[in-house]
This record gives sequence, C-alpha cells and structure tokens, in this order.
Amino acid sequence: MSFRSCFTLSAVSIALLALSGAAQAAPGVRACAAADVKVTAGQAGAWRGQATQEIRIANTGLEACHLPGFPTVQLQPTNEAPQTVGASEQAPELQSTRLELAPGEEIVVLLGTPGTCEAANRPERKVSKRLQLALPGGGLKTVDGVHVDTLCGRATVMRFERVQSEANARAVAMKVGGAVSQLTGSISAPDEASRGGLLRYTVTLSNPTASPVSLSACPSYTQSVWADGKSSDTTLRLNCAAAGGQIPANGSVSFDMQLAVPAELAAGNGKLSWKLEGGPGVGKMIGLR
Amino acid sequence: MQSMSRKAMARLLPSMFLCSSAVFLTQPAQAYPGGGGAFNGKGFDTCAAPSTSQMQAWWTNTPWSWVGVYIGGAVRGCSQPNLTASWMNTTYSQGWRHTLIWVGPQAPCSTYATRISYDSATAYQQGKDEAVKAYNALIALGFTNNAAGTPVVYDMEGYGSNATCKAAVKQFMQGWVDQLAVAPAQVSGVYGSACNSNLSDLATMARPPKFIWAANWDGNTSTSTLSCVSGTSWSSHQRLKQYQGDHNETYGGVTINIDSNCANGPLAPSGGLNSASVCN
Repeated sequence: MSFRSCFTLSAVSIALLALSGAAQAAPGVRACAAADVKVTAGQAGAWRGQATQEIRIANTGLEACHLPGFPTVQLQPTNEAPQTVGASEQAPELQSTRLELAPGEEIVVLLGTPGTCEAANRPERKVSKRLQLALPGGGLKTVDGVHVDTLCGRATVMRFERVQSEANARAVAMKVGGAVSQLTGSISAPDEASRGGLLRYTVTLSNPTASPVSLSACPSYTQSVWADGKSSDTTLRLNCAAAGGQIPANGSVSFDMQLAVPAELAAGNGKLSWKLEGGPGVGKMIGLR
Repeated sequence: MQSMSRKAMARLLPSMFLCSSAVFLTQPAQAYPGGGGAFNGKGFDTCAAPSTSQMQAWWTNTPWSWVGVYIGGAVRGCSQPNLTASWMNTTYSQGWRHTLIWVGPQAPCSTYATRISYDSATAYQQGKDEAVKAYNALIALGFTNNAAGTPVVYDMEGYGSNATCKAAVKQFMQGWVDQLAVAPAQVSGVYGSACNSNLSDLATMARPPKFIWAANWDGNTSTSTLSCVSGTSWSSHQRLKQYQGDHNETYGGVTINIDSNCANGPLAPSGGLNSASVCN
C-alpha cells in the first residue's frame, strides 16, 4: 500500500517533552530521616582505580524527602576507631548536592578507597564490614555486609546521585506518550548515503502488547542526521492514516521514510536518528559519501 | 556540542518532507546480534546503565556512537538495575554500538574485595572461569548466535609493578584469552590503565588478547598515542582509548557522569571504519 497524503509540519523542530525519571519535589520538602528510608549495602567493586562500595538509600515513606548533600558516613572497623568518610578531591560538590527522593525512589552513594599501594603487596588488610549513616532529618542507620578496605588510603564519596530507574522512566514515558510509549521500533537503512542526496529508509513500529495501540492522536516524529558536530533535524507528522489509525496487538507497521542529507555535512560516519513523539527512537550509523 | 542550530539547518532544508507507506507485519521481537567489527568513533562509559530514554537523548545529534556497559563480575563497581536483554535491544535499536565489560577478580596486590591468586595455575583457571561467566552473561543478555565473535573486555584496574603480582595477572589474563577462544569464540579484550595495569606485559603473552582498551587520560583522542604501550602492539584496529575520565556532560537535557573514549577497534555488534576519524 502506498499513500500520497503526507502531513507535514513546518521544518522547525517541535520541542518534545523531556522524559525524566527525576521527580521534582515541592519546595519545603523535609530532610530525610532514618524512619523514611531503607539503607542497604550494594556492590563492592572496582571503578576508576578505586575499590568501591555502594550504599543504596530508598525512600520507603509516603512523602518525598531530601538530602542536602551526601549523608555522614562513618566506617566502623573492628579493631580501630570509627572513621568518617569525606568528600573526594574529584567531586567535592557532592557534599552539598541536594537530592530529593520521591516515595519509592533510590539514591546511590558510592564510596571509594585507593585500590593499590605498596602495602597491598602484603597480606594484611584494613577492612570495615559495618558502617553507619546519619540522616539529616534525624536518626542513624547501620549497614552490615559492606567491604571498605582503607589499607591504601581513606574512604571518600565518589558518587552521590539518584538512580535513573528504567521502571520510573517508563512510567514517566507512559504519562507523556500514553500507549504509544509501549511501542518498540526498528530501522532498516542503507549502510551509506550521499551528501546532498535523498536517504530512503524504513522504520517499523511494533506493538508487543495484547491490545491495539491507537494512533488517533497522530504523533509526530523527528528525524536527523549528525556528522562531525553538525546536524539536520526535521519534525513531521506520522502518516497514521496509512497505518489504519492503529498498530495492531502483537503486530507491526512499517513506514517508509526519506531524508534529504545536507551536502554540508562532513564525509565519514554519520548518525541517523528517528524518534517518535512519546514513543520509541531508532537509529543507525551511516557512512556519508 | 558544536551542532548547527536547528533553525539554521531548517533554512538549508526547506523542502524536506515525508511521504510514507505503511506495511503491516507480524515479526518476532528483535534480539541483540552476536558478533562484532572494527569501528572508528567516539563512545562513553558510565558506571551504571542509564535509562533507555536517557540513552535516546544521548544518541540524537551527539558525538557518541557507542557505550561501554559493565555486564557483570564479582567486583563490578555499580549495580545495574536497568541492564537487561530489553535494554540491550532497545539501545541497539536506537543505533548504539556497545563494549561489554567484565569486572572480576583484580590483581592480588590490590585491596579489591575479590582478588586473583598468586598461584599461577590457580590464576590461570580463575581467568578461564571468568571467561565462562562473561559468556553466560552475554547469553543472558540475549546475544544471538551464541555471542560468537562478540568483543568482550576484562576490566583489570591498575595495580603497580610488583613482579610476582604482574606474573599472576598475566597468568590470569592468559586463562581469560584462552577460554574466550573456545567455540563459540568471543573476541578477547582487556581494559586497564595504560601504565598502571601493565598492558604492555600482555603483548608478550603466548596468546595475547585480541585488543586493548587503555585508560590514558591525556585528552588526546588518537588511539595511536598510548603511554607505556608500544606503537607496534595491537596496531591493526585493536585499540580503544579512554582519553578523558570523570566528568559530566549534558545532551538533550540529560546529564551523565562519564569517561570519554575513542575506538579504533572491535565493538559489538558490528564495525564501521572511518579513515578520517579523530580516533585513529
């Protein structure tokens, strides 16, 4: 089937709503207290030359709360005095980075100690298996089962950030894009394209759910090609009528696309991108001749 | 980013339009193809896999074409709640290529929670065991064709110059390389500090890794220039380089803390050489 009717928006881009898993708590959100959160030991690992230990803080309360910076962490080694974990020289700002936690959201604090030193050639280690967190809203949390070895230097906070959960991101996408956000996409495009020429390619939208996805509120899409710091973008309306106004349950619909490749783009590897408003994005590396 | 503004490009392209035809299909869900190929271009790595919407924001009109993904290992630095077969498929569909990173036991002369044995036979077997685990992780992530030909990198963090320690690491890496060579073979790589992980030692192994990914934060994107590694080692599209570490970048309103990388070597699932790349 082919369709002549094309719905064309002006060739200026439409700002799509940014999908963000970061819930913005209202001003005046109170500081997190021990009763609001569950604190667990995450991975003990290796990253950027540091021996690392994750601490995960989840808001298990019914209201949002905030941390005005990473919480005070105290290592509790078995045979030594407690040691307070400081900010790292690389990321001192984390001490005052305010993070707000909606109910169900999680923050990760990544502690690091130097992974190697002359003393590490010997078998002795200085491992803390327990630590304690002081929450700014009051209360302490003890975390067992950590592994923080301070043999080669003191522990510092390398990361302090909200976990960008895929589940939260999908929930936000569902709010913004509705059922269209459940579609998946794939692309079939040639490996090469001529600068100044027309690139023809196909985008297939698939509906993995057991219910049809309506395209009655016909979404737009943005396509672009990028090379060496320059890009072209166009936002257009999908030809929903051609698809019969829906993507059938467990079915797919393919759309033929075309894109004028600017002659001004650099030769070499280019990035083709196609993104459905509120829905999936697809792309491919294209050799630009 | 130095992108031409959207309005400016719109003036260049006044006649762009869409005419689409729609074809109804029923097709199986996409899977991540096993395999790899030499690629030239920039990529980034970050401790935990971002959400797929963040990855989409970082694909469109950015310099990044590939992403380093920590797929597992006893000392992987960050939990990976987002990393699933679906995440691999979705980001592949978005256009991304990938480097798969395994972070198992580290040098015996380090303070990491899990370490390689000083005993050479044990170290060799540990290397083989980690290769099997990495292969299993690839299969769990949905790699087709038994992940044959898929490049996979062992992350060996810096550990210094103790001779006994270096010997143990070398034995371990030989086990890694040998086991990955067993059918369905993967392409063995090693990530590490160009100097402090003693990558040059690995060039003298009986069966060296097929490629290296060197952390050398000199800001120079060229993979030809690596501290402590001879220019003649891994010189045939066998190098990735982490040229800048630990910084934030923002694209499409999404900020991620990353290391910046260049590839002149194998990526999953396919390659794409570019003689004009700044990564060469």
